[in-house]
Amino acid sequence: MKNPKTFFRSVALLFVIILVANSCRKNFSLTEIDNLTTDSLHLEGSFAAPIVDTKLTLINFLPKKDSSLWAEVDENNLIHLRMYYKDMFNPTMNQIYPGVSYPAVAGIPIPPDTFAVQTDTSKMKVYDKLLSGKLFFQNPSITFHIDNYIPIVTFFKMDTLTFLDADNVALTHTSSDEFTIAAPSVAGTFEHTDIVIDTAAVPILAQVFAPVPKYISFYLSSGSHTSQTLPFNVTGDEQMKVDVDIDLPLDARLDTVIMADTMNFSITNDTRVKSATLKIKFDNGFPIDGITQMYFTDTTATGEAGNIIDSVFTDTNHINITEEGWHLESAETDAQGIVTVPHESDILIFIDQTRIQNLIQRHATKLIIVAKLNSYNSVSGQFIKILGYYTMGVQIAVKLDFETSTNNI
Amino acid sequence: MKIFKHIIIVSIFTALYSSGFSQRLNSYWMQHLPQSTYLNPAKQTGCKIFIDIPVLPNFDINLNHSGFNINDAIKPRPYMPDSFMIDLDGIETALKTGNDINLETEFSILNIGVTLKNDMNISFGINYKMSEYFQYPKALIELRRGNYRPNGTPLSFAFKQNFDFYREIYVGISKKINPELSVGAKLKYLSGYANIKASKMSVDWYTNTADDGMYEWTFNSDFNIKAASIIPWNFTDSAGQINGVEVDTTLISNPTSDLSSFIFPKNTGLGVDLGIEYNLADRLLLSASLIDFGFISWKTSPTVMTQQATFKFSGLDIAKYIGNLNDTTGANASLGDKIKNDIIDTLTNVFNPDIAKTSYKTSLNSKIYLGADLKITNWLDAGFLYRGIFFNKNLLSSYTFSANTNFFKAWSYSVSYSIMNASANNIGMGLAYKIGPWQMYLITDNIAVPFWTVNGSAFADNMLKNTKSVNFSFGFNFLICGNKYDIGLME
Repeated sequence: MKNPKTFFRSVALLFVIILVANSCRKNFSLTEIDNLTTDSLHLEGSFAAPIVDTKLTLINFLPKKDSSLWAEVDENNLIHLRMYYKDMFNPTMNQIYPGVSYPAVAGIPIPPDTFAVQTDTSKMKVYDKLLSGKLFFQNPSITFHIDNYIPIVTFFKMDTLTFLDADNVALTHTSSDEFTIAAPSVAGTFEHTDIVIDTAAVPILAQVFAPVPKYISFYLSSGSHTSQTLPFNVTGDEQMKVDVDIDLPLDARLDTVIMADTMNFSITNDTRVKSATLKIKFDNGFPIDGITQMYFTDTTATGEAGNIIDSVFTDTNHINITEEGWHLESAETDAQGIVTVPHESDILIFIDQTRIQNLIQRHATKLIIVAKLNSYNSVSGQFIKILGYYTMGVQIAVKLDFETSTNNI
Repeated sequence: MKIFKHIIIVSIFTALYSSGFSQRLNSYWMQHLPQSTYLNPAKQTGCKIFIDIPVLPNFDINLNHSGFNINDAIKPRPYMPDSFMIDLDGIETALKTGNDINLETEFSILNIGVTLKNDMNISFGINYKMSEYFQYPKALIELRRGNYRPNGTPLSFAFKQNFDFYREIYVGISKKINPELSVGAKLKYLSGYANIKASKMSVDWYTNTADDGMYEWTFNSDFNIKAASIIPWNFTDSAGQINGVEVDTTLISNPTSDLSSFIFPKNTGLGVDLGIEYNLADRLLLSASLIDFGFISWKTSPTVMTQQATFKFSGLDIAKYIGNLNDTTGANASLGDKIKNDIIDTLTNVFNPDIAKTSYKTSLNSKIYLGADLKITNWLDAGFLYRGIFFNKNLLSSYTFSANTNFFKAWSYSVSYSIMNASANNIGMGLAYKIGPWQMYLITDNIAVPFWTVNGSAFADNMLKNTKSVNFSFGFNFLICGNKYDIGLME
């Protein structure tokens, strides 16, 4: 190196000039960071998620602790819908035998008499959501559980069985069958008698239940046809307590049963979601097919559902959507009505902001779900069995296309 | 002598600071800088004695990020003068599948080099080394676009992590076999203080986007995490379940309670540095080295956690909750609580890791250097250097071109351009000069930060905004090179 000192001086000078050129930084400020705002981070994309993947049995939907409706599975796996009405008919001795002078002592003869009464109408929850159609049960039964404290009553009779629909149109079955009931022989005790009224006793019982009634009531009578001697002293307040137990084994046939439910809903004006795609897949293990539609409506002045604003299942290009709505086909059964082949059905629903804004601006507040149900091969009169292990596979998934910023997160 | 006194006083005063040394790329061809021998043990500085002790202030910081820089991340806000916003698109464009954040620091206790007869140099040193290598995935930013990809590709959250803190005690030798060939080696005895290594820490999130799919989620996880420390710690309960981290800080608050563990940890290992240089026709110097090739066996409070699982979520099984809520969870349980608890239970079972309290070995983050230096004139040469760092089976590469001059006995100056950390705008500079027995050096592989610190120009701002590296080395060495200060031990 000829003149390294000169070179180094030059280099060192250059080094210093580069470092301190302009002015030394007084602080650690940088415009970009000093003036950075983070309130407008833009986010756009799609978020997809599975929501539900489940297999539902009928028992999932029936309360287990509500005596007015519950379900049981018998030894053949057949599901029974059960309804129990307590104290449906509670006549006292002085009502049945008003001609007796009370208190009465043991040993006196009591002439024959009868007391008859129309029970209160009771709601049949099993048909609560059903609007119309026919629902035939193969073997329905009504059991009267009687605890009798009255010593001389000998018979019990269901004179009429009356079903009322929502418009209070009655369908009445009249019977002349009498049933013998046990009477106590010791004061303060009772005798229990179960009286079963089934299709053996009343062959047309299945038809009686068919028109999906809303309410049930009975005309019942009880008393004695011959003179009886009192086995113990009575006060006249002795009572007969009658509970009614209705058993509907789901060996049945549905013929165009229409069911509906209305629920309130609110929709917020959230523009972060540009559109939503809802995928629904059913694996129908029940021998029932359904055509379902969901309507969005506004509300009338009286708070009822009003004008239909939109319907959910409208894309008739989809293989499972008809003019009436989404058609979920039934599982197939064998001749005994037991499912052999489930049926799978899927559907895709697309909702965009145009549709959502339409619902908002027209004040959609009610959602009505209407379903038309038929059992498998119903037109040929085939009954189907609903067994405890039947399942409805349900999968629901959603994809949200979002566009938002940190301003409105 | 007055200057020496001042220097000694200042040196003693600054002994309170840790002493560090540089492994900057720029120092590789600074032949008069003893720190260049840390990158290739075959190198010899030409000085007879080199001492780097803590009383001499040295400062070294090296932080790299291969992901995005300020210019990628911050953009002017449209229609709003002097207002800036975070540009997520810019960040995403800048990121690669795996992005590294690396930090290395080295503290020297003592480093001595002595040149013996026959062109042989021996060295001895005690150093503490700490490094943190962390890799994060691009999927973190991709998540802003949701999880739905029409082609069904997964969001891959693959992290890697390696933290090492250890001490090395080495002896080294370098020898000029002949005027053309030099070789060198260091043998290191290693004592480990702490390690956290995650060679696998990944979760792949698949979303089924097939037409007949129901957007089902599938999570594939693969974890292999090891950790050890001289400080007793634990994060499992008696049943082996993860239950928070407990650290016994006795050794920190009172090191004398177990001084032997503090000074001589049971986590021992060995390492070597190997180097070779060949001078071709006295004009082209070819150089290669392997640094930090070795292992540490971790035995104090070791924990090895492994876990591989696949979890598929296709939706809530609501059948469990309909009508059964009171039966299964008690009258006061809400549906939300029940679902949340079930999900937590499921995830805990599926992703429950295998935890073993067994010792394990880790390899050091080895580095290879391959270089060539072409002598252009008697006082100027041009160098090329490739460096590869092995980190959890990854190879982090960098390429450096430099112009170097080495003159007098211990003066060196280098200007470099490096491609490293996925960035091609690294201008470096190194300067080492010696006054008396004291050599001072000032080195950076990227001048952006030091330049920006002292220079308030827009040019400096722009350099900073484009940089992905912060590194700066500054220090003093005690050197005896020429006859004037030769204390007569060698000849």
